[in-house]
Amino acid sequence: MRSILRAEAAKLRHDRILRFTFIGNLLPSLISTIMVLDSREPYTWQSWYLMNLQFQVVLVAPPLFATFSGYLFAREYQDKTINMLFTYPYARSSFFIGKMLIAAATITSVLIISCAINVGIAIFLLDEAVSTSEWLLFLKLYVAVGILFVSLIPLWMFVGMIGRSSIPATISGTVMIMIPGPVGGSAAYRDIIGLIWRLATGEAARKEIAAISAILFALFAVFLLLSLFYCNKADVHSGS
Amino acid sequence: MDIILRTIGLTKIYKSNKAVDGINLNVRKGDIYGFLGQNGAGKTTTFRMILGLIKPTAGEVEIFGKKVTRADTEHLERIGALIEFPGFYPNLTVEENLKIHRNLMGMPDRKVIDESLELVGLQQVKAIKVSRLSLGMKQRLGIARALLHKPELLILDEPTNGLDPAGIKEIRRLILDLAKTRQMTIMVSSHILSEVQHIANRIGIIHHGRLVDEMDIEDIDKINRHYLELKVMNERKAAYVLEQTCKIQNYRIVDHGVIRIFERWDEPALVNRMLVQDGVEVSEIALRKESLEDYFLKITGRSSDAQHSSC
Repeated sequence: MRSILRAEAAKLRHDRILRFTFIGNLLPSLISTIMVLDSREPYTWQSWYLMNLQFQVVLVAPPLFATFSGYLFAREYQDKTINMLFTYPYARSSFFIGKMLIAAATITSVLIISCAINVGIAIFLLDEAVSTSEWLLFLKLYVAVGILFVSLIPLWMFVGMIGRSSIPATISGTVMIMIPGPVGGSAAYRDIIGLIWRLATGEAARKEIAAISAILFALFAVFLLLSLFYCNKADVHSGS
Repeated sequence: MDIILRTIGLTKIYKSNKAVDGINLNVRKGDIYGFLGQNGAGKTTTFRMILGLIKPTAGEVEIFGKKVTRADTEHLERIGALIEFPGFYPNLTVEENLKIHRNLMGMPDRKVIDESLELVGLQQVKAIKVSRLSLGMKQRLGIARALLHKPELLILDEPTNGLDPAGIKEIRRLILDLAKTRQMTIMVSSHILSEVQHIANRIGIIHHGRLVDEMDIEDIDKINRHYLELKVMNERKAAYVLEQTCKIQNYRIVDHGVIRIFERWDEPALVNRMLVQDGVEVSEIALRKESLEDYFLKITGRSSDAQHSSC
């Protein structure tokens, strides 16, 4: 697995998708900064983070992370390297797991950088001092967001693999951020953020935690199993 | 002699189309095995099944004396392959692409990259991104990658695709060198007969998914007939004279003004004299032997020329 992980990491060297993912995820910070600078009311650390979180979770991150995750397998088909990949002396599923771990590591790194940048900007922009408990709360918020996105990686990779392109994954990420509106109205977005907030602050009810954990685990497990099955069984044809 | 690769009744069916139909291949250790067939005959599908990229509908593959399935991967360490167009990561340099391969093949020796690039004459583009290479260079790089881990069995699917004549010659030389110096068993497919004719010691001919023949080149040489090829002004008149005067029945008009005579080919002067005496203008007469191409056309029942045989 170490060879596979090293190979998968090496494949991303000089790759624009990696740069786009890191830069794209700074968009919420940029929008938030503009809003703070434009506002007459002073922002608190809490409102700053909530605003950032909202832009990140409901606007930028799902399509961005979906594109990245889908790309990892789809590129093997697009660059026609899939022929070679599946003739290495490793089980096909090891490559899927390897790519999934790289996607998880990248998403985690992007979120850590995003968290650090948001703290940095807030130190300069906000007048309010930040307490240790608030620091911890923001960290927990990012952990909750991280878990949410990492649990969706198999779904995005599956879509990218069967579509043999990262476009279906991007669409799935975009649909994900568009669905709450038509289904639950604009309040649905607030509900999602509210839930993440409650999870981070520990205000969420046990039932709520159990429900969201079950949903995320099911999503992760079902699409992981589907992907591994497809990966092991699929024939690799000419022009695949 | 040891059989390195054997397929037993290897079959692939797509809906009602039999892409590969019960193929029994036998590749011996040290062979340069030419796998011949027209485009779409089933060569690549066969290679894909051998390498586990496609699951056979029926049949078995035995490599290095062991029956292999798609779940088995150990034998792949001993195989180098280039299947159709070689894919690379375009954002990486030639060297970085080969490094990935070296790591995945568990080769600790860093020198192997330079060695394989030198073999295909690409050492000067080591630091260049693959996206900037020409098709021919990518093809050569594909061969370098297949050779990098020093495999015992090398499978090359149409390796000269996209190469210029000099490049084709270079690859031919390389294949012969590898078989000689590294005692490598090489299986090379092509739809261009002349390409294989010069390098293979054994051939398999696939036609419409079926292996129609498999034999040593020297045996084909024995089977192939000698013939006299005549260029005449009037082939109808020449045919009449051949039958009536020369008493030759086994001849074939292969093209306008071109006749091949498979009888009395050791008497060119006599045949020529009889034709000229009966008023047939002969502009050229040559003693020839059927080539691998003739053999291929004969057994696949396909001819590029206008066959008008009286055989």
